[in-house]
Amino acid sequence: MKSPGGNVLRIAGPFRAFIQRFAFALLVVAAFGLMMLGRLDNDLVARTQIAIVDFVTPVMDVVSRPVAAAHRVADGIRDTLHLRNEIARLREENTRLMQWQIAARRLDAENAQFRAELGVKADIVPTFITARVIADSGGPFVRTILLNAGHRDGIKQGQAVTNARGVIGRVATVGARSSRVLLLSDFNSRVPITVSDARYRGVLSGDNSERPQVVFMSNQARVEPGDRIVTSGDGGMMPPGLPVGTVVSIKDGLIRVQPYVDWHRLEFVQVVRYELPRLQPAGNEAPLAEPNALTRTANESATETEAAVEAQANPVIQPIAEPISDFIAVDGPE
Amino acid sequence: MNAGFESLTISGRAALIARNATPGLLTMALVFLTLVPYGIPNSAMIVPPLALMSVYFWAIHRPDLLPAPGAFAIGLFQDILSGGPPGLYAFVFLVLHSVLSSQRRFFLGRVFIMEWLVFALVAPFAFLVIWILSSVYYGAFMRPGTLMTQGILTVAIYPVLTWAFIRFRRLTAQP
Repeated sequence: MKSPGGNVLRIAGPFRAFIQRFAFALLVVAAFGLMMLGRLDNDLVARTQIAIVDFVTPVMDVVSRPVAAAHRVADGIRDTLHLRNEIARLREENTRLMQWQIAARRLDAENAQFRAELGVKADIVPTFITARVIADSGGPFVRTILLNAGHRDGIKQGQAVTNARGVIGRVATVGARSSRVLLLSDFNSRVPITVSDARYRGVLSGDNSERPQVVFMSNQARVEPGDRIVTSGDGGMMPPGLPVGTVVSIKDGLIRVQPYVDWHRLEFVQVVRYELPRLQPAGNEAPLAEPNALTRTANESATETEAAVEAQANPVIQPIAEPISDFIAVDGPE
Repeated sequence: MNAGFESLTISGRAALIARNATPGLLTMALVFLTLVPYGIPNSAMIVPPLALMSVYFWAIHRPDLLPAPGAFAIGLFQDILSGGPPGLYAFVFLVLHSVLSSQRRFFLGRVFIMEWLVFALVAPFAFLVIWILSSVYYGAFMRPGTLMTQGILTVAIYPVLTWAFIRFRRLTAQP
């Protein structure tokens, strides 16, 4: 009190407390502000997030390697222990697959013949980018993974991500050298699908459980447990026919799907590059059969393109079969 | 601690900076460790938020080396890397830090069990806040799912991590 130092302390003490309290309030406001901006899909927040993730990607890449290596060692040991059983199992599987191969070859040839007879143009063949999983999402409410490849490797937002078994999810955000994949089970995941044999269309919607559910499916659709679910290709970012999973339960109209993918064995995944020409519909598969018509030079195909756009704008009014015949006429005999 | 900074040699300064940065860097490293794909079933859902334990520990023992804005920044870093709502962990770490650093006298001279017990009370509360804020953020009731398992694991692992932290604290305490 007497010394000047005491005075300074007496003033500085409350002042410091005030500053601290002010900083606390400011940071709380900042946290909620960020959450609101994130919720509103603010571009700046999204870009900053991507840039930071991109920046630390090399670190994550390095940190995740020892774990991956340990897994490989563990797998190696397990394989050695079960060698005998594994060989027997694989032999049996091989015999079975040989039969499938014969069937597939026959069907392939037959299919090719039918296509030739009908003049169907070849589907776009998707290409794959293989990437390593470098991070999981650390939390119970987000189901995403980070890949060590980004737009400089050709990855684009919306592309399907698969592994050998089936679809895992789709690319949500892309940086230069990293990308985030929204897994099928994530709360925000929506993937257009069909029930493979019957071709009933729907959307596979994640709800943070291991088994996503099918929504927006026609009431008339007859789906049964065991039915195969594949991507429908609606929306044009995913190729149709990618395996997704099987229907496991139907309760009160709620169709649950068990994805083929084994969630905890994700080390390398494939991003599917599949680009339809522009002006693609989100409703029918017609242009899929005829991609060339839309990629020809502008003046050559301007009128047809317009017709195609019109056809696609009114998929309900236009019978689905009609655009196909139109396109065949366009590109017909060559 | 910074009073004698000017009088130190360059290597002495570097060592001091390194020591002072230890809690922050350690917590950052734990954020990375949380996100490594472990390949254990459901690992992404049950891996404990290690950074949360670190913030708790340093808020009690050396809040001067990991101040509230530092906790906020690390939380934000975790949010960004995990792809969750931005600001969620930042908020949780900030509040956790502020509450504990203001109550740290309580822990003075008490046994470790007390610190652990308080953590076992605080951690579920932090999880509850994360759950509620996530549900509000996504505008839907989030299935609690594996939250319980994650909570139990978090509390169980705390002593192990503390053992490591105490080693590091000794490092920071040296002159």
